[in-house]
Amino acid sequence: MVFSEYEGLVKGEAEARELRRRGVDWDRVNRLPPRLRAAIKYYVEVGDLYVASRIAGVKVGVMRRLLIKLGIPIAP
Amino acid sequence: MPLKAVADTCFLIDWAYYRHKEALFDLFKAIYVTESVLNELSDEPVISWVSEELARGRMGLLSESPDVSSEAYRLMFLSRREVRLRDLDYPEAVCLVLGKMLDLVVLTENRAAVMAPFFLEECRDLNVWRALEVIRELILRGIIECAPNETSVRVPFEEYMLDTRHLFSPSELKRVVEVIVRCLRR
Repeated sequence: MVFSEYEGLVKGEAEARELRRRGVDWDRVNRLPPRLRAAIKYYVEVGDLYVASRIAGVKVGVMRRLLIKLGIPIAP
Repeated sequence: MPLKAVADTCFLIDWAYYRHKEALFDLFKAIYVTESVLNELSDEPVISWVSEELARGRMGLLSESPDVSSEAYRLMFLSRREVRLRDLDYPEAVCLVLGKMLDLVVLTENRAAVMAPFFLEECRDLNVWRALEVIRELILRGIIECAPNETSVRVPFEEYMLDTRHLFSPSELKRVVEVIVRCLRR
C-alpha cells in the first residue's frame, strides 16, 4: 500500500486516542464536577483541546493544566 | 523569502515549555497571534513568553476583522460537509484564513487544520505545521543540530515530549524521523 500523508494522519489520530485513553484514571475523572467530567471524556475520545475547554467552561490553558494534573497526555 | 507564521493557542501553550523554544525565531521572522488566541492563554510562563515576544517585535498581534471572521465560518461549514475531514474549530479556521491571506505558515496542533489542505480547495497551498513538522524543519535547516542517525534525530522530539507532556503518535514520529535521517544522509 502506498503510504499517503492523509492515511498517516488518520493512523496517528487513532494512536493518539489510544495514548489518551491509556492515561485516564476514570475513578478520578468520575469524581469531578459534571462539566469537567464531560470535557475530559470528550478530550479523551476526540483530542480537541479547544472544544473540551468550551465544554468545561474554562480557557484552553486551564484545560491543558487540568489534563496534565490528571495524568492525561496532551496527544492531539 | 523569510518565513512568517500565525500560531494558534494549542501550539503556543505547548511550545512555550520547550527548551528549544527560542529556535522558533530562527525559523520564522515573525509569529502572529490573534486576539482570541491571546485570550485563551492562562499559564504564567506562556503569557510571559508571548508578551515578551510581542514587546520585542518577534510576535505580532492580528485582529479578526469581519471578513476574516466570515471566511473562517465558511471554512468551518465546508469542513462539516467533507466526511474525511475533522470539524474545524473557529480559532483554527481563523488561522487558516489569515495564513492564506497573508502567506503565513499555520502553526497548530489541531488535526482538522492539518487535514484541511488535503480537502479544502481554499487551503490547498497552505503550509500547516504542528510541533512535529516545526522540529523537523529546525533539524533539516541545521538550527537544531543532529547527527544523521535515528538516535540523535529522536533527541529533540523526546525533549519536546518531556518538556511539554505532549506525546507524538508513534507512527508519525517514526515516519518523520526516517525522513529526516534520509535527508541528513544525502
